[in-house]
Amino acid sequence: MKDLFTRLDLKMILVIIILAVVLVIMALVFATIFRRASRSKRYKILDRHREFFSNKIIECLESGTVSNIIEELASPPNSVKWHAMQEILLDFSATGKHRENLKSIFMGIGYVDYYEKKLSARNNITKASAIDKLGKMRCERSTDKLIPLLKDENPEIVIVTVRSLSKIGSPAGLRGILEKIPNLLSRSLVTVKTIETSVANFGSASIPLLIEYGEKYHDPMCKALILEMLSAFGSSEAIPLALSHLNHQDPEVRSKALKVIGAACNGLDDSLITQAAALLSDPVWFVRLQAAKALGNLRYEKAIERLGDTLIDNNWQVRNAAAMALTKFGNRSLHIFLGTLLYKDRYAKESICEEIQGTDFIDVLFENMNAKDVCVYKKSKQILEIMKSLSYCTPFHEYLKTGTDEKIKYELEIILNQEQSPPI
Amino acid sequence: MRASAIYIIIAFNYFVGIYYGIVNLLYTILLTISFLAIVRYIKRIKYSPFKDFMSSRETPPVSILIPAYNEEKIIIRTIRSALSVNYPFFEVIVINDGSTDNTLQTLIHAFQLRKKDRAYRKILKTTGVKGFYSNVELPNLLIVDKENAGKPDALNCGINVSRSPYFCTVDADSILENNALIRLMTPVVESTVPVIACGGVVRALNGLALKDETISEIRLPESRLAVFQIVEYLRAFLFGRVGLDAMNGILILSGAFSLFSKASVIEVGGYRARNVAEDMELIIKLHRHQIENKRPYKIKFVSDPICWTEVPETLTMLGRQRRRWHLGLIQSMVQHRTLLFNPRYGKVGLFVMPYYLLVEMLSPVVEVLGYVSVVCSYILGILSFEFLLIFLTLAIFYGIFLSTAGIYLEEITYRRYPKWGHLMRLLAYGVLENFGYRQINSFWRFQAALKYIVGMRKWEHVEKGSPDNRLASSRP
Repeated sequence: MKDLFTRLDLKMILVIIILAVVLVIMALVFATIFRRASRSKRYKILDRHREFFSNKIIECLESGTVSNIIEELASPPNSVKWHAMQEILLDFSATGKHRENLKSIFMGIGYVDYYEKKLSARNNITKASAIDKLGKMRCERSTDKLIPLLKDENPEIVIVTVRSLSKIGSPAGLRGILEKIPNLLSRSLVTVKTIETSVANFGSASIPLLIEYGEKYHDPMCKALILEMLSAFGSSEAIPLALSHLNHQDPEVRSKALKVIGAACNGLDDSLITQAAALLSDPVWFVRLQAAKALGNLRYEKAIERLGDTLIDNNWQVRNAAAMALTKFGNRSLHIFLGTLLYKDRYAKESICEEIQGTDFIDVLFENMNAKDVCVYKKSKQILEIMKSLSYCTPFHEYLKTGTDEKIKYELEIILNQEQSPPI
Repeated sequence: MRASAIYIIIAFNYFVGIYYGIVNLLYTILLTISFLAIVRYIKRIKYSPFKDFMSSRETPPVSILIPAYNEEKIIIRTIRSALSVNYPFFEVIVINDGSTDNTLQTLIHAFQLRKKDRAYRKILKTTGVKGFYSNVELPNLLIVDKENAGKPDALNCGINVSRSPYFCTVDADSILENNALIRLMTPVVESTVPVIACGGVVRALNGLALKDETISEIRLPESRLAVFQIVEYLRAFLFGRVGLDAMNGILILSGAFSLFSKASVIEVGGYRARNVAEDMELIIKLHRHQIENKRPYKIKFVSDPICWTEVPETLTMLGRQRRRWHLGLIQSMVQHRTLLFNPRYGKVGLFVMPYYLLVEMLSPVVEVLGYVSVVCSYILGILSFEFLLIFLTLAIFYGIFLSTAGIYLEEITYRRYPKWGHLMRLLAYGVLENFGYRQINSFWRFQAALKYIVGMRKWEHVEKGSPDNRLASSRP
């Protein structure tokens, strides 16, 4: 009897579970169908609004009669029309045209007020969404309300705020971000990449402010970040700051300083470039890499010999960067290449051959087959012979197929038909 | 004798009952977590900065690695789709893994490639490289021709050749959506904890209309088997992986579409050769390495970047694929068994690995043996017909619930199948897959377990797509 009771109980429980599952399935099916139907209806209305108002807004923006339509565009927050209008206006705003007119529409129909109120929402997604919208609306008015949000504990809020401030692009916003950088980075509230991507939006007007903060901060991470951002602008204004950091104890700072120098391309005297060249023997590989790149960009001839030494660096990225840098010196680097190709190790040779092929230096070598200077001719030919012996001869065959100069073709054929490799 | 058999069967029945109770409870928890996570994620997408990254010079460069073995029929389509992604700096590296058909010639002809001399640095050990091919007018395309040694070796070769800090693996029969790569990279750039691997969603390409190598219309395939797999993929990606991702407990990122930090992969020695599920093995290795070195990290799954890939349309090929997947799961679990229940590995050791062992790996074995046991119980008179029916109904309805939940998640999130007809068909297949399809799947996975026990651990040849338009996708 007791057993029967237990079995009945178990059966009942199982039946109840089955019924519950069936109910949930039915609810899910109903919810799926209902959602599909409601979304379809909503999208139809949205499309209709978008089509109707889009043309109207374009006309007003073109004719400068924005104030006339503000009343017509206004609608209760979160209505379908409100969302349709917002999408249209944000799309226009993303193009960067009619910025002032769009700002007055955003403010006139209440979007800015609405989202500024949402900045105090407790839900982080609502808050982040409002921050993002304000950024896209590009109203300077919101900058002061956004800056305090950089103190938020939630990385998501901080990241969206940084991005929005950069979209608005006001100097106060940039100062706000730069002021908070040490705190944001030390507490991992934002990634370096986010700051780099965002600050680029402020444009070259941000250089003086970046320099100011680059001098102010002592934390290596902040310094490196600011130097990296400055390198993106390729401005000579940042060179003094970069030079003062070439001997910084942190390798990241040294490499970023070199990047600024390499990007600036001019405005440096010899003594300063010598300081940069000294970093070709830095113990850290990525500092040597940046030094090679910078000297190549600056085309600093006195560094050719030092770059030649870097061709046998134990790191292949540094070797390739040095070879690439040397290709920028044209015939002046022939003897360096030849020296390494004749005597040094296989890996160094491969790096040189790769970079010669990958840049237009191979064309320089081909052209040198016509050179009047015998020394240039001989060195170039020897390099080509070594390249052939190392099986880096695809460009030779290509030139034979498509090249026009018969003398060069003749020389290349001789090299290709050589049975004996030159002494390597 | 009969009495002992009855006792054993009763005990096993209890075990099966409790096991399924626990498994279904875990699934329900996972589903709830996924539901909450995905709804939040969908809201977050609205302010995702991926469009900003599309034009930013600070977006990290990526190498798209496409290993190819005998893919002459489809490789061009895949490469064109990869070359057309919206991403600021990327290179496409196709690794021809010693194809015996005309894959290389097809590539040379289609992209007017020329042989290129280039140094090959064996950072990860691989078989020999025969040559490099490129076209100056397509500077971000490189073809590597190498000796045949299998997919893991081809991927390692691609890593050696890659010059970007990140690489994305894509199968040779897959098509990337234009924004898929940038969407996959966004959490990597945005996360304040280093994201060392990130996987996207894989969906069935079968039945889709293509125009100029891009998807022009999303349709459901004619093949019933392919539609079953669509429902299955929705369930697996939208609630399985989303739920595990919420706990940083992802052990499987599909090899068809995943992004990795190159330095992290090189640190663990790259893909392991002779493993039939090299993608899973790599992820476990990454977890293990980061935990052992006490480094903060994330391995993420993101549900909006989509890669469309061919799925098998015949039972034979599907069976081979599923056996291979399960065999790979078992191999990886055995290779990294030290993590199991090991508190040193935190939640990976104490929850994620045991979950994969007890739920993913053992469930087909328990399920198939459970069917046998239920039949035996009925024959021996231990189980009443009424109870048999109740248990069966519960199992089927729970399966329908999971499939319907997957379709519901798709509807509230990405809604890729736009027509009413698509929705109704998916809902119907969500019900139908519990009458045969799910059971046969368990049987294939059970077979894989047997194969592992008897030592048959080779890669089974799988041809995807329909038999009339078959796409070779075999691996030696």
